[in-house]
Amino acid sequence: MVARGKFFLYDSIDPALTAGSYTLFGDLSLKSNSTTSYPVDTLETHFNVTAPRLKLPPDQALMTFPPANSEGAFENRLPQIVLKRRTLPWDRAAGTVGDEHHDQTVTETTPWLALVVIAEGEGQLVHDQPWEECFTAETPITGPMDQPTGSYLSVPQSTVDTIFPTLDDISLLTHVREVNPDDTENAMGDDDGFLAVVIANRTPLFDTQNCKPKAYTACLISLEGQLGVLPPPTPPVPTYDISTLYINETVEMLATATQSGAAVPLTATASPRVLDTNDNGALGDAVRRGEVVFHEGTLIDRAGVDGNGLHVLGRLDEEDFLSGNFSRVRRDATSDSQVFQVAGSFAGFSLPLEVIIPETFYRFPVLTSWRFTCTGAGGFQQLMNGLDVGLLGTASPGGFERPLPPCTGGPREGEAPGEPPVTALPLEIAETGHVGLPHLTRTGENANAWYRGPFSTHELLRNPLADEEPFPILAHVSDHLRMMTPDGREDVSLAVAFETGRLMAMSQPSFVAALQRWRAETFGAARAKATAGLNLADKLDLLGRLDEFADIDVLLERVRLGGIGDILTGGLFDELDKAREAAVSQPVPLVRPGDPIAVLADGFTEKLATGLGLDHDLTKSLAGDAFDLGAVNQLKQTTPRVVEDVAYDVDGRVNELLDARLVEGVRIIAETAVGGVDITRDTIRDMESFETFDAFINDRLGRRR
Amino acid sequence: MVAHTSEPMEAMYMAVMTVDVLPPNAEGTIAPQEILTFLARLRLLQGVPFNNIVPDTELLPNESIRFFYLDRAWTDAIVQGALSVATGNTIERAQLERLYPQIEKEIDEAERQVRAPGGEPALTGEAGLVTGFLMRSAAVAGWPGMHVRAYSQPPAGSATEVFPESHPSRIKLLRLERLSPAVLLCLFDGLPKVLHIEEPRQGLQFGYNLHAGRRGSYSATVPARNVRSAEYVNAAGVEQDDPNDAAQIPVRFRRKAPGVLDLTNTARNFADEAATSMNLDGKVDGAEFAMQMIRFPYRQIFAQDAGTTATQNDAFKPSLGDVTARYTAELKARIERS
Repeated sequence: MVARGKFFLYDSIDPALTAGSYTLFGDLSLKSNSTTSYPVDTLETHFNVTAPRLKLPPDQALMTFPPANSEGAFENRLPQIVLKRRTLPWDRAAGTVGDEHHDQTVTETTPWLALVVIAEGEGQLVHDQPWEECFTAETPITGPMDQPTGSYLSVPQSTVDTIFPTLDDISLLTHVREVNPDDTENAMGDDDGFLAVVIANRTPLFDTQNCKPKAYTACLISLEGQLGVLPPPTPPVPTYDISTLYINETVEMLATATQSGAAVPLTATASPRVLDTNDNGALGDAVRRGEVVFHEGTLIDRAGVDGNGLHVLGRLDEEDFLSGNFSRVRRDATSDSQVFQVAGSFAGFSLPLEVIIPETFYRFPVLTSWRFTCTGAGGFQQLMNGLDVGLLGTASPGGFERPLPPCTGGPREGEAPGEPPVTALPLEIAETGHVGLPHLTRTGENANAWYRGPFSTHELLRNPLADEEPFPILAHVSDHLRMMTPDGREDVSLAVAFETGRLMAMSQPSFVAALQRWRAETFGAARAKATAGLNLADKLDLLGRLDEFADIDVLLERVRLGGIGDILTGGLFDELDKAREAAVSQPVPLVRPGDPIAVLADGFTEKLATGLGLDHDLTKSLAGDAFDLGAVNQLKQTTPRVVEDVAYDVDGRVNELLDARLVEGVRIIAETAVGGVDITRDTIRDMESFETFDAFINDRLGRRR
Repeated sequence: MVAHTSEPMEAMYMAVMTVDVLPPNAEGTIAPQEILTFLARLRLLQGVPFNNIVPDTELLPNESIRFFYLDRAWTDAIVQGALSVATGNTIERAQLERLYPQIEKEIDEAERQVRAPGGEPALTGEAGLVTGFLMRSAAVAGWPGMHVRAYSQPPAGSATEVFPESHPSRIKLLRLERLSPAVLLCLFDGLPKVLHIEEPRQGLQFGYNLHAGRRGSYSATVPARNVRSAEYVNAAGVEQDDPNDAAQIPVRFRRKAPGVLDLTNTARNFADEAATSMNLDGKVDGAEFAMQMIRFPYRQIFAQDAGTTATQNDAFKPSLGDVTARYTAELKARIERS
């Protein structure tokens, strides 16, 4: 077993049998001591060893580098694909062992797979073709196909000679890696720890000449029967020159045309395809496949190319095109001679090169392919080294310049170098990481508030004001968390956080429902339990009473019907009612009587009559029966008299107290006025005079304090 | 005067008003698991609008990495905001207030379980200091799945060693996520001393070191490795730790085909360098070639300077001096321009 993080490399792992049809012969010879022999029939069994041929099963590609559809600076890394089956690159024989091509010999370790990286204009990638189309004509191919249709890469001789690996190269470009299957980083989902790796022989480059990203397609191609097509070895060079980035002028023209949308002149002739413009269904299908495109009011058949260029089907209104109505295509006499090239992302890989470039073309089945774009010089290391490092509050106005390819460095001639225009005042950043942001207050005032997100430049305490003024344990509204800062501006950081959380929770109905359920069920149950526990605390014999239920059959019947709850409730209410004061509380009386007044205890009606100036008899009869009509009538006719000046000595002690208080009060006032305890003629005469009232107050009250 | 409230009455009133304790559910928490999960994700700022996290682009310019401490008061506030939803009346709020300390503890536990890598022991304990970084770079977009490892101590061992996440010196990751194609957010469960950001392993990569010559001409070299020991070696065959000290073997290219390697001749160069021990059997095979071409993923190391950051109890201490200076400079510049 390989240790985690380690790996072994193997040149190749040969399958026991390469793919193909085999016949197994079984001979058995029986011998015995006697001279008689027992002939046994030869067993003849046929079997096929299969392996992927036109299409890579989706589980076989564990990893590709660069990642599919990625953009990045991949200049010094070779594209590669990692395959799950360790023998996959050798499962088929690409050619006969011992054959020689360009003085290079086919060996047992020569794989049948190669990874080629093509740029726009260097080849055409065609999908969903019958398998016979996927090989160069007259390639000796035998045996069954795993798929009836496949994809193929069509490349001219010049591309093969320039970028394809030689026969010797392809052995160097494949190897097997053994890793620990538990090592998730290295095993990448493999089951046995053995991975086959196919590397490309070409690194993607950034187009520094035109200063543009360059799109590439990596194709895992089958070399079956076509090892002889691979280029001969050439004298090596120690350096490469970026000026030869495009392998020839045609490729450069095609590549730039796909980006600029310029017309591509076609030099070869192919039989024009007949597309019936009256057949809406056929045209709709062609549009979906991308063969027929709509460009500025013109319908173009990209698949039906001829010597004059792309085939123009006619003019059509945009509205009709969008609604799929092709019956109103107008053909005019001049339209046939127009040439269009529609630009598009990765369009350079679907150019019909075979009718553009007058060269020998070769077709290779493509087992899998992926696209990526080389968008910059350098690689991961340069980007990481160029990072602007700092704590979150570090401001760098205008941002940090990404290292760009040399072609983009510096202003071009004729351009005035200058600072970018300043459109805003510099951001106000406090040392704490707060930033000043415009704040429209509730009163409509345009203010400026401090805000800091969840990230700070300092280590913070969880409860920042714990010592001075504790936060509320739990804020219920965001206003609980608004703070004033020493400079008089508001700090809304936490209030914003609260509101964000509230809005995010409300945006998820499931969470709101869960909260409500929790409150209703668990909180409610806990409340009910706490209440019930109190009520039942001293009524524990309630269940005992149930045992003594008169008729046990009736009880059982009630239990069966589910009425036990009613019994309990009824019993509980019964018990509660019997001991209401202890269990719940005694009812609060509607009116509270006042305190009885001892003085009024005797002769109350008499005193009331005197006080109100009424006849004593009248008040007496009213007090006796409030609904005595005679008394009421009498009351109506009575003219109140002037109240007599009758002195009631309610309580002699009250008068004494009041008198004593009065004397004390007067004494204090006098002492304050005089400014001394002794109030005599002398002290009054010697009283000092004060300039102001304040001085007087200060002198008198201040001294007393 | 008669007392109109009895002791049972008061106790019951309190019980109705507040619930101090809820019975734990099957998971042993008082809050349902779905609520805890949501709140823990909120704690780790999942789904929080980026504007609220970084209020201004100037704080996170292009091609930058910014380190930070997580403000627990902020994340508590966002949780409280979420909890405040659907409280209908004072009783519910009072209950929530009584229960909140317990709920907070449970979220502290839950927040470490949001990201649970397979094969690693689960993390427990109180919620402590959380730090992290935001990175905005083309590297994030071009190398999805880069590895981020934080260490509380500079890791011992060789430079290419990788420790499992359960290693005591590793600081656990709470969250590692691309917020947008080019912005990476990472949260650590502690304060790292050393941070490694590594090119995604994606297996291994093959390549060379590119050297720009003059006028668009490029050459390339590969540091020599002894294929027996897989260590870098110099021309004398002595093992080297730094690939820059190793013997540099030139890479050969095909004529008029930029970027296309002439593998046969490059392999011959490998074999000709005696230190690689490759010419023993007279031929170079695919494994030996791959061994020379393997480029270990580049690892960027960020290390904190010696010294500790003192805990600062400063909820707010704006230092306006710098800001004023900047405004003054800006004003001057504008006056001079006009």
